[in-house]
Amino acid sequence: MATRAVMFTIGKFRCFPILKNRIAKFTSSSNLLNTSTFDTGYTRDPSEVFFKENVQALLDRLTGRDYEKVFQNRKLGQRLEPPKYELLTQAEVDQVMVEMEVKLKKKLQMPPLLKEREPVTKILSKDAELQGFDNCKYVFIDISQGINDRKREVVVRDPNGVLRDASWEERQKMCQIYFPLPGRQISMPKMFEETHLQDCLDQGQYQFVLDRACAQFEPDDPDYIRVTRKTYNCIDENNKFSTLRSTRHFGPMVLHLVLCKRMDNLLFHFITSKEVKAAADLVRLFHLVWSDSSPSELDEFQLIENYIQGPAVKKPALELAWQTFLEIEKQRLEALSQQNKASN
Amino acid sequence: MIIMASALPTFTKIAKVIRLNRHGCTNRPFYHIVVQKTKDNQDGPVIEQVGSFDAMPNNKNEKLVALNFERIQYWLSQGAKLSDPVAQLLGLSGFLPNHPRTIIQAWKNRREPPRERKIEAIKGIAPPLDNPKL
Repeated sequence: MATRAVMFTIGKFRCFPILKNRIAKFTSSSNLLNTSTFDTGYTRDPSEVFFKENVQALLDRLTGRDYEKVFQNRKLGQRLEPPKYELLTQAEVDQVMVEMEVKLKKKLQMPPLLKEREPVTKILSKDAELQGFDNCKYVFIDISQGINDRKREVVVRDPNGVLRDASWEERQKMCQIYFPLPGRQISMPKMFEETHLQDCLDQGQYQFVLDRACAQFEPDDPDYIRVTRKTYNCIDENNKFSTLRSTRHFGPMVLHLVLCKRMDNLLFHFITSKEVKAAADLVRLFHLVWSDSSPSELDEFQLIENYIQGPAVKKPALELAWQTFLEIEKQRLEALSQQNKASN
Repeated sequence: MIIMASALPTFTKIAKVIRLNRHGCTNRPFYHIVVQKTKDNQDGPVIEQVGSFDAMPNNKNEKLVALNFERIQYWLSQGAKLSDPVAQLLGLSGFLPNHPRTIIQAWKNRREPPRERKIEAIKGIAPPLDNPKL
């Protein structure tokens, strides 16, 4: 249905207005690949895998380095400036490129995949004599300078006299009131409720949803995990992997798909767009995550073949795509060799 | 030229006290927890603000109290006194033992719930307001 996106002007997160004629289509792009035989969740703790160096290196390589996309001017409610042109020597250009690498690394820093946090249960004191001193609870926060928000003391005195550590929701609310972070609201925005979230995803606003979730929640918040998983699954179903390429969210998405064992759509995407290195990296990641060992084949083509013959779930589609790719490669190499002969 | 009290050195012999300063608007109190000289007025010069206390419960039925424990500890070490309400708040937060006033108030509330004030309507005159200020 045609929808009008909500315009709001908080900090960095401004929604694009959707034109009336544009209708969000829920297309199933490739009929061979849309069977829902996957399990959507996993019980394994993703942080065990996420923080390994070899996994991080692979995710980094898969994310890609499209400088144009990473540094593009995004309309986020901040003042845009026209580009500056400077005349530099080669040495100065190299220096600037080094600085840009540092900035790029910062922009592409991946938000971690963690398991849901445990609820807070610590009780500091039970004072039965204080029952009835007031009919509302008192929430205390320590506003001393220089303390990390996760370590800040937030305690609650209930009307029944119990003094306890504040729950995660109370703690985040208090920290946001007294030490506000930009882009974060005190209570959860309505956008992250199920119906509204589905609307946003139907409109294809994947990067916006993920960026806002990153600003609003902590990575081990159950709401953050729910929103990000839903977005990743939506992207996987609609094969819109290119929207997240060269963003900070591509790595976590890939790892999520590998952990769910539904990376076949992504592999299909890589093969059809002829990115053999990326496809091989994806297969290597699969082996790292599921058998904790790097596969012995060094040849990328062999690696992908073995995966398609072996652990792949959507075998027919992948085999077809792979055969097509191999034929195109062969023809390309023949054309190249003929060209070489002609020039010699 | 206005000089802030916190910019002046505080080696006078007048005692310092940590107490509540009422800010906010009519019928909507909001207290700053401040360190002041006892002699100064409530709206006079303040040495340092070490917290805040919102006396009106919010929509989750919570009263929010912010306390800079590090600075409160410092001023207590320098010989500052505490006013009763601040001492009660620090007792409730667990920083100090429970104040006897809180315990007595709790006991009184349990013995007899706080009375609601009402005016009787007088015939022929306008009916009483919902929340009369007596």
